[in-house]
Amino acid sequence: MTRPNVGENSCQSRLKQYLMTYTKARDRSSPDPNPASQPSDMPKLELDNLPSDVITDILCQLPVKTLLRFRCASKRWRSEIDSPDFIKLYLSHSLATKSNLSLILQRWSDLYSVEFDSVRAATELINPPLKDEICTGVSLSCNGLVAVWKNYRQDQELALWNPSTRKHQILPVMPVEAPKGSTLTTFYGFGHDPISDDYKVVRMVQFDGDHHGSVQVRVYSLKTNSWRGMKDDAIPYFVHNLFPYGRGCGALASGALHWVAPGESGGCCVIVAFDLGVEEFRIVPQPDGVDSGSKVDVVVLEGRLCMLCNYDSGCVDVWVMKEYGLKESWTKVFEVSRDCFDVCSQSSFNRNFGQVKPLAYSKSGDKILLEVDMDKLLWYDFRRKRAERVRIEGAPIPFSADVYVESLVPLGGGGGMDRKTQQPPEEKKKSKRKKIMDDFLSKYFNKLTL
Amino acid sequence: MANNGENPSPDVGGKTVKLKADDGEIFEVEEAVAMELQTVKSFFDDDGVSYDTVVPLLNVSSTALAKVIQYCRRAVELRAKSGDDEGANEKAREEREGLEAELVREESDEGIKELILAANYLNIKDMLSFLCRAVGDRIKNKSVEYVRRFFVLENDFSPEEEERTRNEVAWAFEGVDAD
Repeated sequence: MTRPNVGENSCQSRLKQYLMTYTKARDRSSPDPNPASQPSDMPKLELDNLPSDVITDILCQLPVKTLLRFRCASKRWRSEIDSPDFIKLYLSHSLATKSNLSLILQRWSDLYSVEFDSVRAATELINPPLKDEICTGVSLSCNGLVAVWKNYRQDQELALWNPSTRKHQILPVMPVEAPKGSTLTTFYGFGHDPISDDYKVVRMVQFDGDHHGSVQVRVYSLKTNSWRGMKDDAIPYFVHNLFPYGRGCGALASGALHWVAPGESGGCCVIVAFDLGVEEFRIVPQPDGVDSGSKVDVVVLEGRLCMLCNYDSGCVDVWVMKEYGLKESWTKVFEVSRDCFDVCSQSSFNRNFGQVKPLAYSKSGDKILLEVDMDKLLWYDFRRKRAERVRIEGAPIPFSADVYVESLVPLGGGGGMDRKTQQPPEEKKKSKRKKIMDDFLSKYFNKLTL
Repeated sequence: MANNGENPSPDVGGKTVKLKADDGEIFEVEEAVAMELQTVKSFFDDDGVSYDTVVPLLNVSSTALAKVIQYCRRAVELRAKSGDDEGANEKAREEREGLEAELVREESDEGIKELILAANYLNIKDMLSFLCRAVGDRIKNKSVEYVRRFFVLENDFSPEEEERTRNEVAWAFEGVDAD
């Protein structure tokens, strides 16, 4: 039973509204320099000098490394920087103003970071945890966190990692319990559920690598630091189609992870979504007017679900679902073709015009950064309809790019010392889920009516 | 550019508004510029307040007010320049960024704080916004001691607690500007 999309949208938008209201409350419409409209759980910094909300504004501009250092300035500053309200505000401010952004370039388990503001800046290498033991996979980032893992047959190690704060948390082991002699195909998804304000990892395993082999789904929640299992009969038939093609960590949009699965016997492919809130699968409708002959992929573009249709003619259409769940809101935002890249050396594009992945709009909105063929980054100018290549010193080839926002989102400890193996997973409890949703709605709804 | 002490003559036929700084100095500015200061706008939005009334800005020094007026005047001019033309918009945006950089470039820390307090009191959103960004830029590589002086913070940690807090993120202290 799926949740109605309306309910899901209004929860998302309430969270956004809350954050917007919070920032608007700090804009003064009266000359009074000490507004009473701040949320009451934010520690007040009444100093002789600058008002506390101005200080908060300034703190939002700073990179995470600086904030972590400035925690030592005074007890009040430490409480403010550590407070959940500031952490949320910092994140939403960074996303809204496109500050404290970078690109993570990934080549297998090697990671490089490139500043977004000056994409020409040389890259740095970051060391994820588990690296010493050859971590084999890194997920897309979400609110400054990534999931990292190494794949063994039975014993899969997973950690959540915040590269900005350099903290990580090793997950309790969830054994795969594969039947003897079977082959496995595994992939992961990672994202944030805004309803319960929880970070979750989804692990999907298929035994026997066969289209109709059995599929096992497990979900980890950071809040409870535990895994939950999904009943076999709760897994719809179309999830099986994700294997063996499924890869990547799913595009996170509106609290759900998305993958593309091939359709039944050569028909149109489908967009499969896993809702991180209710932990259920569903299919997302595609726009009308997409040629079934095109190759489809889904990514996320600035928080919205984005569909890429790659036509053999050397053209890629980019669609964005402006209102999540609403089929009519699919909008073709632009298209790129081989002709647009006349600035670059033609030879690179003579082969089949391959993968194009939009990453982010520029701050002024007149250009979009594209990852092309996993070995180039280009700024595409909408007005001039031309692309400009971005050269990055020290970039790996091939690479997969991901937009990363710095954040202070906390992770417990950093050790793997007392890693526990979990007992057989609990089945999820629907009533508990509903209570979390009700609590969230009443809490945030009350804050909105301040 | 107008000197700090001079009052520019108003446009012929344009309405002007008189603003009084904390030391009594009066600044006569064009209405459009004065309305950039939301505090001033609210002052006149009250019923029955005539435009001839001198607006008392008790919390703003004449130095700061002069700079604020200079900034707002240029900002209003630049906004008038931009329109539908993307090229003109981009040029106006670059000019505004140049204006902002120029305003803060020569300012001491005390000067910037005074401007922030003025922009805050006068409720000029854009100006406050870029001043906060400028301060952020200025302090992001600075030491904890620098920041304590800048924001007049008292170090209320015990030596042990401060040491512990520092050690939690020892790597964040690498590459910091010398004071």
